[in-house]
Amino acid sequence: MFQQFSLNHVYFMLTGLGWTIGLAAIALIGGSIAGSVLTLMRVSANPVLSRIAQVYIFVVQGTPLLVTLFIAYFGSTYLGFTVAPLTAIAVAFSFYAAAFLGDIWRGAIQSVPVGQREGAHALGLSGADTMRHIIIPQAIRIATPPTVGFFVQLIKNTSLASVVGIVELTRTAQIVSNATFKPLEVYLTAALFYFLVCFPITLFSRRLEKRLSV
Amino acid sequence: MMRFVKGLVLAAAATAALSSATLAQATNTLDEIVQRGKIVVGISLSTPPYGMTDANLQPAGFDVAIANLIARDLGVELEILDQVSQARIPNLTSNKVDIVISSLGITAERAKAIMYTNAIYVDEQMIIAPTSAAIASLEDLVGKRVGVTRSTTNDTIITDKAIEGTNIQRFEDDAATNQALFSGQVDAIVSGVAAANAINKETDQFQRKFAVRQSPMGIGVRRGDFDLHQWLNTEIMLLWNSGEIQAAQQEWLGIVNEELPRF
Repeated sequence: MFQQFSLNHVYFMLTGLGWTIGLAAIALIGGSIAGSVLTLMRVSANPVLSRIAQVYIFVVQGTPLLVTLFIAYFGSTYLGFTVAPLTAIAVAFSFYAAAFLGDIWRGAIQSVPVGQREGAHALGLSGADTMRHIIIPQAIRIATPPTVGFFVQLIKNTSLASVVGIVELTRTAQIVSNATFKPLEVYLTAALFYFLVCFPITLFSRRLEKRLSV
Repeated sequence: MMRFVKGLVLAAAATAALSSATLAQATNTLDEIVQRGKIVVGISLSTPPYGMTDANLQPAGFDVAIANLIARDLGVELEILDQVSQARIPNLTSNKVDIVISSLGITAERAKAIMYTNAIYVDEQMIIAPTSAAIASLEDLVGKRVGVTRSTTNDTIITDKAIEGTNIQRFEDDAATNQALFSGQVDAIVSGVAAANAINKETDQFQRKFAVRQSPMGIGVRRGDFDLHQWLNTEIMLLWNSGEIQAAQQEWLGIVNEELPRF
C-alpha cells in the first residue's frame, strides 16, 4: 500500500512550494502596508492614535498566529459572512505582521539621534519633509536586519495556512510522508525548499545593508 | 487594564450570542447540494488508509471511496477539501464543507457539536508495541512512553483510560506517530486496525498487544441538517445491502465489519 518516495512526490511538493511563495508574498505585502500605517500611528504626535497602536501591538503580539488565523477563517462565519481561505490568510497575516513591523520600525525611527531632527528643524524643513528626507533613510538602515529576520520567520509561518485548507509546502510534506511513511526524507526535502526560498532573502539583506552603510 | 479585559470578555460574550443565533438559522444543505450539482466533502488526506494520495497523487482511501459512492448516488460532482484533523469539526460548523468523512470516531462530546450518521466502519483501537516487549494490559504501560496522534479518538481514549504514571506523547499525524515507534522514541502507540495492518506489512518487529476499545466511525453533518442526515442514513443502508461498503472496507482497511451499529 505504501509508495516509494519518488520524483512524482517531489513535483507534488513543488506545487506546495508555489503556494508557500504566493502566501509569503501576500503576507509580506499586506504586512508591510499595515505595518507602515501602524508605525505612523505609533510615532504620531496624536496621543489617541499612538495609544490605539500600542494596545493593538500589545494584543496581537500576545496572540499566536494560529489563533488569529482560526478567528479570521472560522470566526467570521459566526458573524454572518463567509470568507475565502486566501482572504482569511491575507487578513490574519497582515494583522499579525503589522504588530511586529510596527514596533520594529518605530524603534528604528526613534533610534535616529534627536540631533538629526533638531538640525532639520533648524534648517526650516517641515515635519513631513524631515521624516521623508532625514529620518526614514537613516531608519531603514537600522531596521533592515530585524525586518528581514521577521520576513523569513513569516515565510516559515505560512505553514500554518494548512489549517484553512491550503495545501502549501508543509501540508504536501505531511501528505507525502503519510503516503510513503518516509518522514525523514520527506521533511528534509521540505526543509531544503524552505531554505532555497529564505536564503536569497537573507543574502539580499546583507547586500542592502552594505549598500546603505556606504 | 481591568477595563480592557472586561471589554474583551463582553466582546467574546456578544460573539458567542451572535454565533448561536446564526447557527440556529434553518438551512437545507441537501437541496443546496442538488441545486449546485456539487458536494463538498472534508477529508484528511494525511490519514492512511482512510484519506491519502495514490501513486498519481490523487485522493484515495476508504473515506474517499465512500465520498465517491455518495456523490454518485446524489448525482452530483464530488469536491474534496483536504483538512488537518483539528479543522474537521470547525470546517463543518462554519459551512466550509457540506459533510465530513474523515475517520471521524463517534464520541458523546463531538455529538454535542455535530450530528453523526449511522456508522460506516467500526475500528478497534489497540496498543501496538515491539514484539519483544511484555505489554499485555494498561498496567504494563505505567512508566512507559505511549505515542498517539493528537485530536483523534485514539488520543481521547488513552488520555481517559491510561493509569497514572503513563507518559503519553502526542504527534501531529499517523506517519509521525508510527515513526516514533519505529525509531524507539516511544515504547508503544495507540492505533487503529488498518494502521496496524500497514505496519505489519512493513515489518514484523511490532505487533498488536491488546485492544483498548471499539471505535465506530460515522459521517459528520451540521446540527439541524435533518434532511441531509436522513438521506445519508438511507444511503448507508443501501450501500451496505449492495455490499459496496464491505467492498470498500476490504479494499482499504483489509477487514470487513460483520455488521454496523444503527442508531
